[in-house]
Amino acid sequence: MDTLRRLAKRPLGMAGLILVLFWTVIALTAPLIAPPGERQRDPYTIRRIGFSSIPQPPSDKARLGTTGGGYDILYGIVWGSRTALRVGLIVVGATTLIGTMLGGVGAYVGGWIDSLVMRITDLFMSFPFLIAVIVMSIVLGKGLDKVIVALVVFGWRRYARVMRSEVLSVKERDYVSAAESIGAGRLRIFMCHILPNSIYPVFVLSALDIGSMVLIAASLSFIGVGAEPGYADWGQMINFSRNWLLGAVGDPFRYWYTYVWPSVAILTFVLGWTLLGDTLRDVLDPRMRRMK
Amino acid sequence: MLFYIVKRLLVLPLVLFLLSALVFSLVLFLSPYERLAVFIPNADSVGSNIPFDELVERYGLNRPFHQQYALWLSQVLRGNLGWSPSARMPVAAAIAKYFPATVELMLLGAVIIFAGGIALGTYAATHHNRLPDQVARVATSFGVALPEFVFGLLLLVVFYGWLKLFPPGRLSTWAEDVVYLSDFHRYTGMHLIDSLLNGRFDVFADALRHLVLPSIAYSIGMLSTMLRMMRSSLLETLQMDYVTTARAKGVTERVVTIKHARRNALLPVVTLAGSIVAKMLGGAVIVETVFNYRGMGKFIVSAAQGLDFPAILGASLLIGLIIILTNLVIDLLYTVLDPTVRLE
Amino acid sequence: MGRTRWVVLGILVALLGGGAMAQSVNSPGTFIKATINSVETLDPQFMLSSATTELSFNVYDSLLDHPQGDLETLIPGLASVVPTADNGLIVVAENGTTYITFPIRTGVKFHNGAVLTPEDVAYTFKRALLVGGQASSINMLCQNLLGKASFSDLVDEVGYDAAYAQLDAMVTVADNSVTFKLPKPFVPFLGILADGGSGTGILNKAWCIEQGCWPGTKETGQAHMNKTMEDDPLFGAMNGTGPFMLASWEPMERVVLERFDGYWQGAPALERVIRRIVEDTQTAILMLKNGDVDFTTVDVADLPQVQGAEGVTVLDNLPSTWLMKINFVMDIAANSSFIGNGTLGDGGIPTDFFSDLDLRKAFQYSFDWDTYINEVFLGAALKPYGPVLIGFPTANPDNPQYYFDLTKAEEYFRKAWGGEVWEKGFHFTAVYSTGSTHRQRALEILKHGVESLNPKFRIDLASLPWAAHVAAIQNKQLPFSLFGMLPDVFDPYLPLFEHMHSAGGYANWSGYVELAKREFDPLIDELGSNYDPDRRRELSYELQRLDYEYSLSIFHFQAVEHVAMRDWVDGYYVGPFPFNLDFYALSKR
Repeated sequence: MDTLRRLAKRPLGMAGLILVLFWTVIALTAPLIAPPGERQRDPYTIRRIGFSSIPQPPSDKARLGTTGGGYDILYGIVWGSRTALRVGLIVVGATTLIGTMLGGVGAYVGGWIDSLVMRITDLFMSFPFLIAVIVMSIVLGKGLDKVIVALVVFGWRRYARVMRSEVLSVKERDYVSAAESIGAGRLRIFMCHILPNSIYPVFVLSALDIGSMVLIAASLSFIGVGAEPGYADWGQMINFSRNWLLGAVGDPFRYWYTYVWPSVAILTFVLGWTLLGDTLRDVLDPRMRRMK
Repeated sequence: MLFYIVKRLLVLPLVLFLLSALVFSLVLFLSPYERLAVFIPNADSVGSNIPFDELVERYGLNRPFHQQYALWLSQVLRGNLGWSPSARMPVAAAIAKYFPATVELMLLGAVIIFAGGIALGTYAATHHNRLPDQVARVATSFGVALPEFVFGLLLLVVFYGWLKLFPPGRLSTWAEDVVYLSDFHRYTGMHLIDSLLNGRFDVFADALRHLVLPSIAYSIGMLSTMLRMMRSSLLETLQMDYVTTARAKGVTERVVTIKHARRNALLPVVTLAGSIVAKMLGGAVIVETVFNYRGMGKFIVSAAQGLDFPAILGASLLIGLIIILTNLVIDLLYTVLDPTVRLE
Repeated sequence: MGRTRWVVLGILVALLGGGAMAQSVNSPGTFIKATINSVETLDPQFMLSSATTELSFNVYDSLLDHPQGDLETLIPGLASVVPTADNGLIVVAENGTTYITFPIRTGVKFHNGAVLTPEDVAYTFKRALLVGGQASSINMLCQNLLGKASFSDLVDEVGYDAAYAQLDAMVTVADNSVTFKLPKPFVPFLGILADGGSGTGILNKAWCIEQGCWPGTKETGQAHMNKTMEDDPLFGAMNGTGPFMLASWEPMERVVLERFDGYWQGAPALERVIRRIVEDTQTAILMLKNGDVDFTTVDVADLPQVQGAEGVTVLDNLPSTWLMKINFVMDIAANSSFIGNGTLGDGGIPTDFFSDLDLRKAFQYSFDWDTYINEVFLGAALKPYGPVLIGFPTANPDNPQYYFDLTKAEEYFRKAWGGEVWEKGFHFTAVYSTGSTHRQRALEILKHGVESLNPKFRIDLASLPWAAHVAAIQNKQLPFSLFGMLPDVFDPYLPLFEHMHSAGGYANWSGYVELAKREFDPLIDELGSNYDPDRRRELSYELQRLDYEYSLSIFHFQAVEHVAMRDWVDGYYVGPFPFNLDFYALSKR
């Protein structure tokens, strides 16, 4: 496609794409790279190599070492990528759907539906996202699925706003009034004319959002809300490593493998999506295109 | 304009009411026994001096939802936000204590974000596609992608663990003594301001020292976002017709930037500011946890973990109020900066 | 832009300059302790957390005391003589009623200037029982002075007037002494009153009434029963006879104690003590190394960070009186969400699952103590002998014990429930409180052992925030409850009572009240009232053996503690809880 070609011309965008593809491949091949133990029922529970409270350095049994409690770091990173993709894609998919439908339909139909949607959006926006998600997750209980629910419940607002402003401007365009004048049904107009032309900013937002949703989920795991202990989640792995940051007396980096790997994983994952999103914005935004 | 403000303010109580009802409804997910557990202060003990059943009666925890809500609401309207078992003090007192701490952090962070973001964003835009711009683009991508807690932990280890420069918490022990014990008058609850008002520059320096690391860790992400927003918005404006006209007329580059372009470029920045305030309130949670900084973020998290609903409700009301007011201010600012925007 | 640059630079320089502050002993008269345990109340009769009792220990005094580090010998405290049968201060009547008289020391001052009188002593105990203080020593006294678990239980049974009459008769005041009347001899009584002020500290009646407490009369009693912690007037105030007085309390942040010059044993060496809450152990260790804090406890996994650090002394493997156990709940609530569909099989377990003895034994043999103690605790924990803690009198090292043996485990699993367990398997959820690593690991190791025997055995693990966790235990929702004992009096009666007596708490939570009433209560009651040491040993041994026979709980560890302090700290000695300090004995060089 034309867009892909433009994407290829930008080095930062390519870098982002490569990172995203890298993690996608890792996630897809997780069962091959880090097979779960024989008696392990749930592959998302990090494989344990013993129960030692002190992290063990990389060895044959655990290629990247273990954290305190015997959690295999390599296993955690690999399956954590699956978790990250799942969280990112589900949350962003759901919020995009809900937000664009609500905002788009409201804006197109106008009148009291539009006002209602706006008021609801305002209500949800009067609460800081992170705190709302934390409170809801804690009340709903432990488990990443509860976090996903909380993220979706509070995450659709921006999409509604963006979609609404786009639709408001698109619906004034010529081709829309032309279609209306020849008697095309409202649904058809919405789906075939309005939606495809307003959707670009939403794409950009989605790409950026995948990264930030994963960051937020990681932050929640870090403070102990969300995933059950032992679940393959990068934020949790960094939480596990908190006690080992200072190393031992005279050997401050002794446990570097407990925090370096998960941090790098999160960083590169989010970076990939961010670069991708940025570049998409540059590519898809007609005004920016004028400048290059 | 005035009419608009009044109209917006009238909606305020309605929104707060809805907000509190929403939060209160989360209560429906919990059994009375879970809600009572907040009265047991210690993880290793299982008893409480009053039988559970009596506590359930006393606090009306088995009554229907709307009755419980009405009861709570009537108390609030009388100015009583209730007792917070997780903070061991009345909810209002806890909020009065912890909120200024977060405000301090937010203020310092805001200075970094806005001053830094606008200045650096302008710099990058005016050097578009040259080295500073490239560096800015890459650096901000990292800034946005780096988890706050990782960065925070890193700062803590380096600057406190090795270099012993910036300690965690809000104040050193000796400064705490000054603030709590001597005739130090508490004006706002914010140590930075109070210490200046009390003439204690040593306490001011100490409070500032404790704020450095948290505010840096806290603002890196939003600074990056602000920088990019400023940069792209300014770039866009610089292309606009009236700017080209000004250039054609021979106005110097610097004047073009500052006078014409920046004013209009600030519009999206102002919009962003609104969402940043909301984000800052939330983002404080992580940073406060990492740095042991006792503010609203930590308070809310421990209240949530302890299922301390009076505290959660009280805090939600306050935060909701702030955000709504902030949005109002932002909308007003918008009209000042761009007269073509009409208030609906 | 140029000017701003200089301002920023200037601020940075100022900060860094301030940062390079000296690292010598800060204020030699002030002792700073870092702890993660926040204070729930300042009223010693309501304190539930053993870490909080450190405050009442230093601010209040009890009638008797122990010499430093020696928990078996009794010495006079606020009482001037230790009552014994020999000196006539303990008198046992024909029907068993016991009268114990304490002559009260004269000239002892409270922090507010008042002088200690016997009336204060009587008031302290009456108030404790009337108001329903839940501190464990007060509970224990209630059980043995009034015969019921709480005063309000007594009121429910015989009515307020009769109950109050009993309360009043319990303690009588003479000119310069106080006499307690016990319905029958209670051996640990003196030990409980020798806790240094932790739970049985003596309050000043006049001051308490000033604060809004019970005025001490019958008419006003009912209004003061069953107070919640926040309604308690002594929630935030302290006035005792101890070496330190309360200077300030910032809830969840710090407590400051100040030297009391009028202390009857002489003023302490330290001027001030600051007990600072630091929620993060890493930060506490950093602060210790930087000299910002003088003392902190250390987890075993953090030892490498402090051992060998400059200026820091580490004391490890200190015995502590904390025993943890995994309790089988024999009658789980029917609405529990942790038992699946409530029938034995791959969908769940029945509510009386653990009432089968063979099943409980099977679980015992499935727990791998070696891995738990060596890997999780890195060797820094003890495998208990049974319900009587190691180090307590009459603890029996030869008590029959369970140990890790999968062959035996399988044998018992096959027998359990007449063979049905082995055939149908089971599936339930074991719960631990969020953040409690030792509980989490214990359940993980148990799960590992059990599931390795039969693929039909399934145990899922879940965590609950502690508030919800405690509620679940109260509500009998959990198949296992992981709770232990922290007795602070060195008498086997206390842990045995708590663990095995029908009124001890565990019998109720774990569902063996009937069994306890039948088999254990008579022995435990005798243990509490018989002074003969040989007979007590016999009873204690028998009870420990019975616990083994009935397999009531898996005793998975008894804790040892590690502490770290700066080199300039003098005078530390190990008490029953190594993390609780006797500030009177401490000084800084």
